[in-house]
Amino acid sequence: MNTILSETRNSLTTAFSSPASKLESSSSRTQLRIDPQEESVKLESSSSAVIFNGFNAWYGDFQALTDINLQIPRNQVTAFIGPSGCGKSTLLRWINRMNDTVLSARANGELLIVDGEDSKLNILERSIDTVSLRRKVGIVFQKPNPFPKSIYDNVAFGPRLHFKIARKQLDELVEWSLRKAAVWDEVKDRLHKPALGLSGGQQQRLCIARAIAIGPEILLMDEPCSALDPASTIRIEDLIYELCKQYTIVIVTHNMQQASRCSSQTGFFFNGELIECGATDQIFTRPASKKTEDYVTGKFG
Amino acid sequence: MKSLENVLKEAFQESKSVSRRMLAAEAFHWVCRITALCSVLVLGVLLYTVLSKGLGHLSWSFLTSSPHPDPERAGIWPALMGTFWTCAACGVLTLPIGIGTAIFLEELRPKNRMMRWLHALVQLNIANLAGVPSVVYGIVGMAAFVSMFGLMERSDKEQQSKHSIFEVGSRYFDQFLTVNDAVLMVPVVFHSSADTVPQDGLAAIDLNGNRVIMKVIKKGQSIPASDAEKAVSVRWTETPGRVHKQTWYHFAVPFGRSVLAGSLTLMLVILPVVIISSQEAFRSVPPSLREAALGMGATSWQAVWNVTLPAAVPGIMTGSILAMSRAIGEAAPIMMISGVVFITRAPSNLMSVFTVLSLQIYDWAGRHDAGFHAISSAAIIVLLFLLLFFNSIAIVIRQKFSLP
Repeated sequence: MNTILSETRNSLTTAFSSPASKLESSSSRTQLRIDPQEESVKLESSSSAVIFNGFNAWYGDFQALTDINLQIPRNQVTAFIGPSGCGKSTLLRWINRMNDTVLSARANGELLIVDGEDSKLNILERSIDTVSLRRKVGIVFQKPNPFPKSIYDNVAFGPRLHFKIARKQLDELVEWSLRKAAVWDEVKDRLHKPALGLSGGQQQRLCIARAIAIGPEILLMDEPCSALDPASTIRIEDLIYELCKQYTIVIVTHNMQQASRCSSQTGFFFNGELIECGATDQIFTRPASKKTEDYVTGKFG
Repeated sequence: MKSLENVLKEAFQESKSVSRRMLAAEAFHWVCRITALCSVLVLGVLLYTVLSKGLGHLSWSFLTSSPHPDPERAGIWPALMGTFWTCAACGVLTLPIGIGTAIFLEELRPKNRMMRWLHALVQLNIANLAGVPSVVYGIVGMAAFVSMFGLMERSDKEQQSKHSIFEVGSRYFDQFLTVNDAVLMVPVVFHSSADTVPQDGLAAIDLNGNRVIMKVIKKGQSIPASDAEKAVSVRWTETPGRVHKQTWYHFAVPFGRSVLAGSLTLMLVILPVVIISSQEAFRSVPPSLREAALGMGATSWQAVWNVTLPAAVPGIMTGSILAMSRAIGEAAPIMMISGVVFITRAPSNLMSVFTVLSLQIYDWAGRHDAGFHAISSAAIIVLLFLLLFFNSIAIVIRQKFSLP
């Protein structure tokens, strides 16, 4: 039993680190795995990236999530909606084990991350390596939280943690990430100025650039626009739409319009239960459950 | 029965109560001013007496000369250097331990039950230790560092003396007087080895550092005529005196009444303060930064080293420097370690005997001669200046490194 587990884990760890080794070995930019030219290749697959099977989560004695069964499709945007305290952020934070920082948090059931070759790994296992997991599953938080360093150092932070990378390649990677996060044109002349001098929207896009600079496959976003003005929100939403061609995106939002605008699948949570999950237009136009209908039409929540 | 409205109306019209309240407010202001003035006044009186007595004695030679039975010729050089040595060593010892403990308590929240228990125990103890009087730490330091509970000593049954179990950076010599009253030094391997017996052909060093061969004049032999021969000749009856030469890296166990023992004791005194202020500094780092680092796959060590520690440095430095300035002023624990001793040389290594400014002040202030009281005031001025200097460094660091 143990050997099987460790074998799976090893294969996954190598899978996790393969982009890194490619980064190290590649001498020219075209060899980078996260190069934009490869986007079209990944568009084809529509298998699941994350699978929840009978997933339960607790904070101490309080059960935050009950019996969640959910599949998150690859290279699409999945939105979690629901009233405050319904457990949607908890679920999101379990996908890359951010809840490890909360002492009382625990979970059981199955939370499977599907690797490219259909090998699955239950990341609730104690032995899981959270460092490689979080390299593969990036997260963007509600409030923009750039480090009190320069813009360049913010984006270079992740690559420096994980890869041995030459200065020139790092420059390219930083530019690539910032372009990808649609913030390059605004910051290219001030890369070495403090990131805290940027506006809120720019900071949030910087945080997205920082998250994708380590080449994740899944991007978690915990209400990424709730601290931003409408104009910045639109830019981030456009960005999310762009990014889903290459990344699997899970977004928690309180904003119905946002969910309907940028997601292709929506899950509605209520009191720690997944009430309904389906294609976004179906959830918003022909919800199966009365509760969902009441929520999306604004009767409560 | 009046309606509530009327009651309120009447109350508002009663201007007397308003003026009475204004009066109370005014009185309160004055009470505050007077109490503030009291503390300033006390400080002012202290400064005035110290400055008027001591300022005249403050001079370069006062700073650079050694204590002397004559107050006019006495200085504070050994005490000043002792203060620097102990504070430097204390800082070097305290910072890593203090910051490390704070990181353990604040940043590494263990999940395992045993470690959580340890975590709670350490936290509880540090809160308690911060309130322990420093003289108690002096006693602890005496037992733990000076004599090491008597465990680390080798006793010599014949000579009834005790000495270090481990020593580096020091050399022992047996000194012999030659027939023309010059000195010959014969190296000895151990402090504990028996006195050297004068022998022909012993390798020795004379006072100029030249290697020479000892010659012994036995019973009945005559003294050689030439000066060169006299300088290496020793009478057979001569008994040696043991001398001790130390290098700058001299180190011995147990520590004895040394700078190191003093620094370790001061470390015990200020460690709780440093830990608590560092914890506070780590706590004030926004949790979002920590989450950002961990969310990108940083290990807890990488998150601390790259993100939270740099953000906490201003707070840590401010707290530590204030703790250091407390260490500079401590007299009680140092008195336990070094005693009030007459020391005329600045420490040359961590194992040197030493004294510090506060102890020197205590010593001089307690004498009967008024001259000593004056130089004691001068030493107080130097100490106050040092404290002011350290505190202003803390302020500069706080201003410079605090987040925008």
